[in-house]
Amino acid sequence: MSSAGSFAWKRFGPLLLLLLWLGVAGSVQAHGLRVHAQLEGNAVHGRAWYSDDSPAVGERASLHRPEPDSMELAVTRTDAQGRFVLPAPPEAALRLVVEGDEGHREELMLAAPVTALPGSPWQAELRRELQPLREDIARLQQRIRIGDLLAGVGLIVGLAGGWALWRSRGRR
Amino acid sequence: MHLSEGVLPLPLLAGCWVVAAAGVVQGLRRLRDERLPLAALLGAAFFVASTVHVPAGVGSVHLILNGVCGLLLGGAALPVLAVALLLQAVLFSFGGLAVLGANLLIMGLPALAVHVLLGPLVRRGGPRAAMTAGVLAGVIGIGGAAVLAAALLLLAGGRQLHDLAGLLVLAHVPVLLADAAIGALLLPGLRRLAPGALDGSPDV
Repeated sequence: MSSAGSFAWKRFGPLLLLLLWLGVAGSVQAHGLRVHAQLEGNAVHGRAWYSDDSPAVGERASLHRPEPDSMELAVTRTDAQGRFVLPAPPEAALRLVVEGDEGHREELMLAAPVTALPGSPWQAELRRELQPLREDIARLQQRIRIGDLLAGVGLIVGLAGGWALWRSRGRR
Repeated sequence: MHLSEGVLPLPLLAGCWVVAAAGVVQGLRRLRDERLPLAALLGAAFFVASTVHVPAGVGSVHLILNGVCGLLLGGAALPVLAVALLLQAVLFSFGGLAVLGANLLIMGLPALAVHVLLGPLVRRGGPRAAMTAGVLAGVIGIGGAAVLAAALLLLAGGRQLHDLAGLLVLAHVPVLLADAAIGALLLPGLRRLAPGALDGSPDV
């Protein structure tokens, strides 16, 4: 057993090291693109990240009118932290689209804040203070939870059990 | 590797759904009762594998394992992958319901290719053949999935997708190596501990 283990290590140790190196050299995009954004005055501030918590860098973020029209109003790219700022026209509802690598895409509908008082500086200050907190909440909400993972595994096992039960009915 | 909602046009989505659904029905017919526990185990492994990101430097590496699923399950891999992909879409919003058919084909067709190409090698060969098959299962499984995803993006056309397609294949080299390494360690072990799992005999 141990000889087989060392045999495997001798053969594939270098491969595993290469793998680690590649992981350091190039980042792999995870499966889901996540976006958080909000209207602040006459601009949309937002952040995009992947489901492994790495920032979505250099992705295309665009602002559109709602569905039937869906004209593109503004476009930009996310920065090194995945942040972006888009100039927003004074419209009631806006559609934000972020398109990531490898066919990732995420949409958000943005509604203008009801209590928008454009002239008050303390309110802008408050929004800026709250922004990181809002982003943290969005990130935590969309993080993969161990409970969901276990629920999925349990469902798969349950499905197999159900299928086995159904198949065994005919034999009795 | 999961394509998101809204990336592919409607006819392509519908076509993928039809082909994928036919594959799932065929696969269910091929799922023999004695392979059911193995199928559930591999389905759970596939479901979990792509959510567990091992941080490595600035990036992270994860597994997909569609090649190993195909090698061990053959045609029955399609319904197994369908259930796992559905749960990933519902619980983690990886991909989505409309694009589920396309994502199933992306993961499932390479899995079937692995079964057809490597099945004979595993059934007849020794430990070294099992190890080779493990490596190739990763290469064909991930490489094939990346090529299929890129092909679908190209078919969809549209803005910047042409650039993304090449990137998609390159970006998955680390995942490909991870799957190949795990396959290389897993299959010789399986061959020793549960030979029935590899040669398709009932005593898994």
